[in-house]
Amino acid sequence: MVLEFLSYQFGVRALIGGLIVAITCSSLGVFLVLRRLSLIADGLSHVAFGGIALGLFSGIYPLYTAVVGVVLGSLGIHGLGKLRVASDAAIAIMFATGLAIGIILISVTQNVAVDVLSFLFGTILGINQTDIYLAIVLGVTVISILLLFWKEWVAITIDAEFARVSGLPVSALELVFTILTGLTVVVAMRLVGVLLVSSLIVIPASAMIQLKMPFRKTVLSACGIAVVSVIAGLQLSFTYDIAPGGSIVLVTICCFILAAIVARLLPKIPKKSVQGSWDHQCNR
Amino acid sequence: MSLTPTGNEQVCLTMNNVWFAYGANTILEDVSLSIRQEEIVGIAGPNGSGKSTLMKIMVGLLKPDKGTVSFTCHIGECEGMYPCRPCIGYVPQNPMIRQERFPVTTREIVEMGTFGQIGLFRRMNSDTRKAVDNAIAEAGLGNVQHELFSDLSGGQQQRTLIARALVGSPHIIALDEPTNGVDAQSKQEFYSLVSHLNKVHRITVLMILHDLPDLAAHVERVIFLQRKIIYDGPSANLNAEGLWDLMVRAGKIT
Repeated sequence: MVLEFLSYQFGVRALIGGLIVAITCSSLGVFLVLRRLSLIADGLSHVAFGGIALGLFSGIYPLYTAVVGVVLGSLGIHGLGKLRVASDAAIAIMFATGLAIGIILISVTQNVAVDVLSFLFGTILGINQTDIYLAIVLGVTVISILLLFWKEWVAITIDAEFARVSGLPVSALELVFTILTGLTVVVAMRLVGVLLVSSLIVIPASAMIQLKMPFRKTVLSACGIAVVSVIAGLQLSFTYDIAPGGSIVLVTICCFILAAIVARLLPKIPKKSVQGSWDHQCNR
Repeated sequence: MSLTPTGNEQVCLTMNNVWFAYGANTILEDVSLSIRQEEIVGIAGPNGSGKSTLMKIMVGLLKPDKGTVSFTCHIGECEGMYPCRPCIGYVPQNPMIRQERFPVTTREIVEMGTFGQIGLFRRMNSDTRKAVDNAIAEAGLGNVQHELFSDLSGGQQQRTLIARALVGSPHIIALDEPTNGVDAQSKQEFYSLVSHLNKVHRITVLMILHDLPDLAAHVERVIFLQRKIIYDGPSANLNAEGLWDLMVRAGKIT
């Protein structure tokens, strides 16, 4: 039976969470991949792991502490950038900090092995109603802010230097975008796990970028294949009783390979030589 | 936007005693200059001489450690503003969009030139769309406006970046090594365009150039930089000042 997991309550919750994850991850992913900041999702997922460990240690709901963790991690990456630390080094520093805090807190907390594994590798069964409410709130927040500042994100992605000269508040917008990425990581980590969350951000975007479409179409098509991957991955996870993170990411990899083949088969567009005149009207 | 009548000798950009350093590495040392309206100015010098840094300070990407930069735009609403965003258009040297498969069309890039003036939370309206249409048409890019930027020729890419800089009707345009990676024919078209913008539309042009014959042929005034200004005068005098030899010896200029 197709989508048989939907006959169970946990399956419906997983699908709702999965669709939010697919749309947020893939749409942010196009911006991050084009700006060569793919690793930021990986770094923030490990910062989120530190937040999860803090939640397990303190008895606070782990995803709440993960949200606090990624916001602090985003501020840390941004702050290190202000100190002229290279962006990849700043991400690596926050990555290591989050992981180190997580390992220490888990080592002093009793009976959390199962919870930790579910956050590391993702789960269908473990997604509860609170996770879904949090995913909806964070997902709607991320997508709303993404749409609200759409033209600014596009401008910064195309050419941050020119955007700055134009008067856009590039530094503040970059910080907001990093926080959005962190919140997306928190939404996604319950389903696909800390270790694979960045894949869902990077792979659908990388697949569609190969097809050389305009910006908006690239984002929409990345969302499309992420949604398909989540649905197919959940079905595989349910059918074969495997971790959903692995199955979802392997489906996105298949989409990436398919897109790569299609991109190679597309005819090369010849360079056009256009003779045009310039008649700029300056109104002066 | 209203302009008061100006003469050719009217100063539009002034830098006074500007210093800039990256850490302990001083890049610019006590640079003072004035750019007059409707000039075509070439900025030259060996690699690492501070040319791009100077331009980035002019357009407001970097702040000088010491000294002042001021615009005299003769436009009411931006008098005294630094950087004077409505007045200066910038064409960076090598934006990331040049990389293959960057999914952005020619039109999307030109549209970006309006975003600063539109402001946050606002979308493009019919006026800004019309300005983009005009810039695309006038740049002769109409039939490639929906093509990916990375699929255009070097000359077309350069035109697109200039259209983006000019869509907001600036009075000064700053170009960082605009002829890099451009073939000979496109280079000639580029210089014709620069001349047209300057002569017909009275736009002041600042450009960083490496090519010695280009400096001599297409630029009225050359500022030769090596941390400090060591020459500022007509391009015709470069040879007499011994600067051609200096630049050739530096191995950075053909």
